[in-house]
Amino acid sequence: MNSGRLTVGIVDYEVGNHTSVLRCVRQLGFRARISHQPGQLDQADVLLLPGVGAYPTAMERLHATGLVSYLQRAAQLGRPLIGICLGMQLLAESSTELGFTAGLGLIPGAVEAIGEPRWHIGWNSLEVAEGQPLLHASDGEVMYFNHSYSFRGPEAFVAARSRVREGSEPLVAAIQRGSVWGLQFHPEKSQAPGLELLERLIRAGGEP
Amino acid sequence: MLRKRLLGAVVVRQGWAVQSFGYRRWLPLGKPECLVENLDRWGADGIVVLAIDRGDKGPDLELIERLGAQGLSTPLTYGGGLATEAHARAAVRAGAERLVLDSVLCNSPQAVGAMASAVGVQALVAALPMLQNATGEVLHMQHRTGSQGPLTAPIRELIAGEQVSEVLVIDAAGEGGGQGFNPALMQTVEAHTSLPLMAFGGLAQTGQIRSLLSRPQLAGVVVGNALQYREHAIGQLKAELTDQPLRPHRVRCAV
Repeated sequence: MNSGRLTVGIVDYEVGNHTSVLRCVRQLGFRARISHQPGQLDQADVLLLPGVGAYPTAMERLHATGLVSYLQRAAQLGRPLIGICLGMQLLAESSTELGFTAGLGLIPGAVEAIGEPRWHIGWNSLEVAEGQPLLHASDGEVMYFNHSYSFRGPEAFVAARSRVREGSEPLVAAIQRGSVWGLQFHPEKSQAPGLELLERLIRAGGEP
Repeated sequence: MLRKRLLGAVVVRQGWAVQSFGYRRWLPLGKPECLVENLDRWGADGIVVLAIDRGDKGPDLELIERLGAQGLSTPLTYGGGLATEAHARAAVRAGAERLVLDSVLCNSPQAVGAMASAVGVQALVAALPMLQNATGEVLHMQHRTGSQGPLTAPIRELIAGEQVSEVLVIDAAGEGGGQGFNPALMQTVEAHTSLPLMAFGGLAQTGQIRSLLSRPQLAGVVVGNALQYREHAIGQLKAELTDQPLRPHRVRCAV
């Protein structure tokens, strides 16, 4: 860790597009490195877990790279961790995508099919929950979503929601437990609103 | 509420961005990186890059990587040469958020399921180039063979069974013409699926786009040539479409 520019460790488990997140984080002015090596990830102030694809494959890769216990320990130690899209879903206890798969279990809740409609693809506004000062500035901002499974869990851990249609049941858009955050949308692909939100979370994670 | 999308398209042939005229003639426009960078800066709701000459060469991973290396903050959708699960995985890893499937739908539709397992169904978009013949019949056109015919049973099953998450309906005859998108094509596809649809081809004018956006099943319109000749064309179009459920236009400042 360092006292100057914050370093973001992008957890590489060979699922999805990590380069895109790397560029984004660097554009925000942070140092960033992609790695699956605990020694290198230990150097980071904030851990970022991206992800695109299917849940079972992602968990399989996390197990194969030995990162499951590393991330669980990092969360226990209170290290800042931000999961994005599939990376957020992996924070949950389990998913039923393509069968039951146990997740990292860092935030109570399960990932299940959205239902009707089956997809949540495109730009949607955030409804930030009460008591979320870090997200408050993003209330009503429009972010880019692309998922067909969604987190369901205790209200206490839900930081923001979105609705596919006006008046429809909300989908969980962000979760939080201590220093662990999950963003269902892609802040790195949400242009100015997403970049601003991600910057706030990283800066907050780097604070003592 | 989920917004409808106004996406920009860049058609790539032999490594160059081209203005395409009905997939028959092409006018070079420059490097794809420059056009994609513009769409990102101008605040498009998404960027669709279609490499139309990949054939059996597989996806243009170098192109996707070059585009990804630009640090785009706009979702990138790539189409061209995608035929296998390995292609899909590699294209996503290279930097594409979503993948447009075209020839594989005709040649090996069974490969689509494996691709979905690898990258998620939400990443897959089926491209259906359609045209209406002189007798009014709406037909599906296969680019590689040039053959035309009704949607085949495997394709109908793919889109009815929601093995992809969206369908990109392409006006194959109107593409490059700016004369508007033929709504009969959309009606035909709507009859086969309840998936969200996107329209591409012939779209240039606000009125045409507004008319399409009024269709409940339409999730987005993809505009190609019309965006390449005007600075901030996306913002201008959105300013004329404030009555539509589009994402408000907000251009990124330097961060």
